[in-house]
Formats: sequence, C-alpha cells, structure tokens
Amino acid sequence: MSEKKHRVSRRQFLNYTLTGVGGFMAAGILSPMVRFALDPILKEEAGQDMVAVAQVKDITTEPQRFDFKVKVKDAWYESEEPRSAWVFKDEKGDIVALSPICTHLGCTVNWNGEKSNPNRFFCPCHYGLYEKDGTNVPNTPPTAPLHRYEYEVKDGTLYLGKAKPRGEA
Amino acid sequence: MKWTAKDVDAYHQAKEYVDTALVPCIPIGSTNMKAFAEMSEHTLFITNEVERQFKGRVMLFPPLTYFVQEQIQARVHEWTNVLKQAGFQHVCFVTSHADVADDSFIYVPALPLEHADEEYKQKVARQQVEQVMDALVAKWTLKN
Repeated sequence: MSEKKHRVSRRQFLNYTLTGVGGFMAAGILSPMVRFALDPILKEEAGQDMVAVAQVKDITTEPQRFDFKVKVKDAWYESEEPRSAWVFKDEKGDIVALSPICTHLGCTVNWNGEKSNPNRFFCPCHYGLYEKDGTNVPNTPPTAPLHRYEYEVKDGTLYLGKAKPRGEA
Repeated sequence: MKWTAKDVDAYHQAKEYVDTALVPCIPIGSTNMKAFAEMSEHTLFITNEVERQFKGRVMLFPPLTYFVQEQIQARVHEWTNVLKQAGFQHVCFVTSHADVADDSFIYVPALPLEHADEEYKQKVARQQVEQVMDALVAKWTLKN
C-alpha cells in the first residue's frame, strides 16, 4: 500500500470529481421529473377512511339517525365535518345506510317528517318525499334516490365510508 | 347556501327554490369584548348548522355587524326590505344579543359554555338549532 502505486493524477482527480458532482446534479434534476411522471400511481386512494358510526345491535328495521364526524382534508387544511346517516335493516336483514342529503338541493331529510306521509323520508324545504329504501317519490322535487353509504361491519360495529348514488354503492 | 361564489352560482340555477334569507346579527362592543366574542361565535355556529340542514331553501348571508351603541332596528328594517325586493320572501335575523332581540329576531342565547363539557354543549347547541329550524318551518307553512 505504498503511496506511489495509488497515485492519482491531477487530471484523474478532476475527472472523478466532475463525474461525481455532475451525477448528483443530473439526479437532482431528473428525479423530480420521474416523480411527476409516476405521481398518479403513487398517489393514495382519495377515498376517506371508514368511520365507526353505530353498534349493529342498535340497528332496527325503523330508520334511526346517527351522527358522526369525518376528517376532511382540503390541501393543508384539515377539519372535521359533521355527517349523518339514516340506518336501518331491510326485510332481508341487510343494513341500509342512507345519506340524509336531499338529492334536490341538499337539505336534510327526516324520517316520518310529515304526518300525511308516514314511513317516508320527508324534505322540509320543498316537500320532497322518498320511500323507505331511498327511492324518490314521483311528482316531488327530487329526481334521484337518496345516496347510500358504503358500509362494513367489524366486531359488531358499523363503519360507514362514502355516500354514493344508488347503483354504485 | 352560503354567501360564496360557488353557492351563489347554485343560487342562480335554483332561484325559485331559495326564498329564505338567514342573517346572523353580531354586536361589537369596546368593553366586555369577551361576551360579545362569545355571542358572535355562538350565533355563527348556530346559523351555519341551520344552513347545513336547510341548504336548499336558505341563503346564509354574511353577518349584519354593528356597534352596541348603534340603533340596529332601522338597519334590520332596511335589510328586510332590500332582501324582500331581491326575491327572498322570508327574511330571518338570528342574534344572541338580548338587548335588541325583539319579535323580528330569533333569539339564541349564548351560554357561557367555555367550561362546559362537550356533550352538554352539543345538546344545547342542537336544541337551539332545532328552535331556529322550527321557526323557519313555521314561517314556510304559514305562507303556503
């Protein structure tokens, strides 16, 4: 290991240094480009997490209103938004979680909200009506059924995800 | 609907359905600031919540803000006229300020809830939200 054998000439030294520095610079320029190109793949699924809403044993065949909160992220600003759901079991015993947002203009609907239309969802704003399964009653302002929440049941607890138009959920 | 560019667009699309103006009234005072701040916070919270539930028929306006020394009645009167001319059949003022709250207002007392527990706070707030909503529904059914 004498110093003579490993003599590095001035030219070689400059070559190595420039290659090294140049390599770093190229990497610095290229890697954001690659990152941008791949960005859509790396992006997390935008859908929000499932939120615990109710105990399955509390759910009856009569729709009940459950309030919960979801975390909403708007760029850097994170906030909690209140949500509600009308939850019940249908004839087959399946859980149905309906969004209370009227598909007409976005008011909140009530179960049995009007005396003359029992067992229907009623929107107090423009007197829209929905059947128990969320289907809009013809000749009332709403033109689409109430949205349904995606749901899952884990250990006796009901978790709700996103509300989607009928047919998608 | 709220007083935002996006919601005002929606309002133009659905003008015939939105016939109610909701105006929070907020007093400001140079003494006892904290009490007034509480009132402001409370009124805005309640009106926001009412707007969320009655989005399709109610336009929530930016608050009518005034100094406690001001005579508010005349301005309320003025706002009512202008809004009615603009097509809002029902104009509804909400306030936590007991000194001005007469029949033209819906009064939602701001409770000193700073130290109350979360559950109690929510219960009180929910009751008041329902009170305002009931008042609106009463106005609507009266006219129809």
